Amino acid sequence: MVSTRQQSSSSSGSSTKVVVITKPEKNFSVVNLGQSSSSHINLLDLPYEILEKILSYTNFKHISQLRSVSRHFNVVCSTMLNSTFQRLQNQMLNRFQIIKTKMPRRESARRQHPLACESDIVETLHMRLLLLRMAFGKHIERKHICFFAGEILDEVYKILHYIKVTSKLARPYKVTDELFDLSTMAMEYFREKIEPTLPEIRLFANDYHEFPSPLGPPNTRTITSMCLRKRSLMIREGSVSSLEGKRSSSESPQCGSMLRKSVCKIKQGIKTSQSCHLERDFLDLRKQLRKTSTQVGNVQRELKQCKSQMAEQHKTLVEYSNRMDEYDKKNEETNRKFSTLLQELNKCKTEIQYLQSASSSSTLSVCSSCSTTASDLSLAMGPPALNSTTNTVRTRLHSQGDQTPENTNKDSMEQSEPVVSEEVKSSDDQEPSTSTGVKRKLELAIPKAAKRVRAVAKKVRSINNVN
Amino acid sequence: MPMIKLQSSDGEVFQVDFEIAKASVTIKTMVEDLGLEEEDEEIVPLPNVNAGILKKVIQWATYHKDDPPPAEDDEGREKRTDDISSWDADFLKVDQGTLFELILAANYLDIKGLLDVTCKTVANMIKGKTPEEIRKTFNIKNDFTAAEEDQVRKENEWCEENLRFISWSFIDMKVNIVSNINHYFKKFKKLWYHRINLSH
Repeated sequence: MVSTRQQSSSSSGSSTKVVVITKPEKNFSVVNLGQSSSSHINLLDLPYEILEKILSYTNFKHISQLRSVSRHFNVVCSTMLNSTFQRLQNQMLNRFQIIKTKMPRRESARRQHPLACESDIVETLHMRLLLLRMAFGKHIERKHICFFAGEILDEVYKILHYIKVTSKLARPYKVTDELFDLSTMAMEYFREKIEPTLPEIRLFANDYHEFPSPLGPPNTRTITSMCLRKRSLMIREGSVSSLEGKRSSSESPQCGSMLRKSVCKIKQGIKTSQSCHLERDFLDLRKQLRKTSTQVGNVQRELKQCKSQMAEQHKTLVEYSNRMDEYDKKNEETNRKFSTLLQELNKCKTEIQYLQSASSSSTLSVCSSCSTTASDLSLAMGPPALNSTTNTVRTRLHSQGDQTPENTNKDSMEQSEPVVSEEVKSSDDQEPSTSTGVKRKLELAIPKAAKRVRAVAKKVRSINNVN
Repeated sequence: MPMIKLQSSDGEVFQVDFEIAKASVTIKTMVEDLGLEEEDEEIVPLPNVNAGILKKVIQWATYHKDDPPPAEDDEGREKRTDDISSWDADFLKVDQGTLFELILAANYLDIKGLLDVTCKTVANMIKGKTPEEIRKTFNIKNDFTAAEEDQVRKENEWCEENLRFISWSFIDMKVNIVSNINHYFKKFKKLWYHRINLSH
């Protein structure tokens, strides 16, 4: 095939050659007609363009019903419905703008104008399609549904045809009556039956960051004004997307003015069903806004609670740390007291030992009194270190009373307190020289010492209790 | 009269008057752009069309060679399918496979008249048929899952006649009322027995 052409194409350009060659290849990939026998070809083997052409001979109502034939049919029909809906929107927008430029600016003059009826009809068509887009557009964009209302498209085409054919139009609302009914029905049905089953689209999630946050006191007036702004934005968005990039700077102000007008209409609350629909949309939006604002309020409240809890916990933490400090102080004090006590005890011990040693021939009564004090001490002293010291004191007292040779052994055993033992030894040395004078002294001093020891024991007990 | 040789995919060569072959825009542009001339013994191969279909296409083109060029279809679509001439109707009394092959050939050769008339024929086969009938007619398998089919059906229910809906809702209401009465009756019975038991 290529060679054939190359021989004959001395004069022709290469670009045409490419076109001629590529075209059959494209179709070749779709269906290999040459080899296949005729019985194998099914309706669904035809390429999309041909299916579309075939289906375009039927009406859109039938097309929307044919969606339930099979998946492939569904795809083809849905694409057709969606693209036709989109195309009609663009067409109506353009037509509306063209007719608008032809009309006089004065409202009163407009009514007398020969194009008045057509303008009315075109405006209604445009508004209806816009409303439908508002209702379904988001879901169609996200491919949740297709534009299922094929009958509306039929009706729009019918009206367009009617405008084209009829030379003198009259009573525009009669013409668009059926369209009103159909579109209202479709939107209501969509809202009641279909929308609840579709995945939710969060309007306020990402699209409208530029709005002031509704966190302040949500009075209704600000909310409605915000709704209005939002709606106008949506309308603008719709018109912008439908202009498909060929929007010129001269068109946009017109568009804006038109939108402003529509918003004004809504504000005034015009009683036609058109504005009723917009109002309903407003109400929906307002509800949603209220919902979200209450949600935000809840979240704020929770945040406040969390903050207060945090503060409380911080307070308790500080309290605890203070308490810890106090305990540390107390501990130190008790430690100090203990050390002083120990010192005192040691002093007492040495005194007692000294006195005892001074009286070499001690009486039994002294010993008994001594033993009582010792038992007192042993009872009082909790800590084993102190106990051991008292024990030593007691044993020393007894041993000295008995004058046994075991004395030296015990001394060696109790080398933990060398001071005491040395003193005892020294007192042993002094024993014979001053016996009578010291005896008298001892008799006076021992009860005193006992008293002191008792007092110390009391103190220790009290401290123990405190701790 | 200039002649042109067309070769089908299975090798058969047809010698056709150029005036007739011109109905195909593909062949026409090819000839004009590449400057095929009368004395050239070159054969134009048509790898996508077999002999049987090519014969039919040539037959159609021969019959319609004096037709005025088809009008460009505008957007104001009021498309009719009942304007098929009787000759065309007879000509297209073929089995489905041949018809679809004719469509593909017309599409490939870019013969608008033939494409239109064949598509109209298929559209007439589709028109006024329920999905089930269409499945039967064209031997299409219903490959929807139950949920998908349900969704499509639900979406299509938006403009069913209101009367039907009203009657259905009435029936629903009746069923509800009856079930409610039954429910309360049972409850009452239970209570009654309970009372009797208590009194004994």
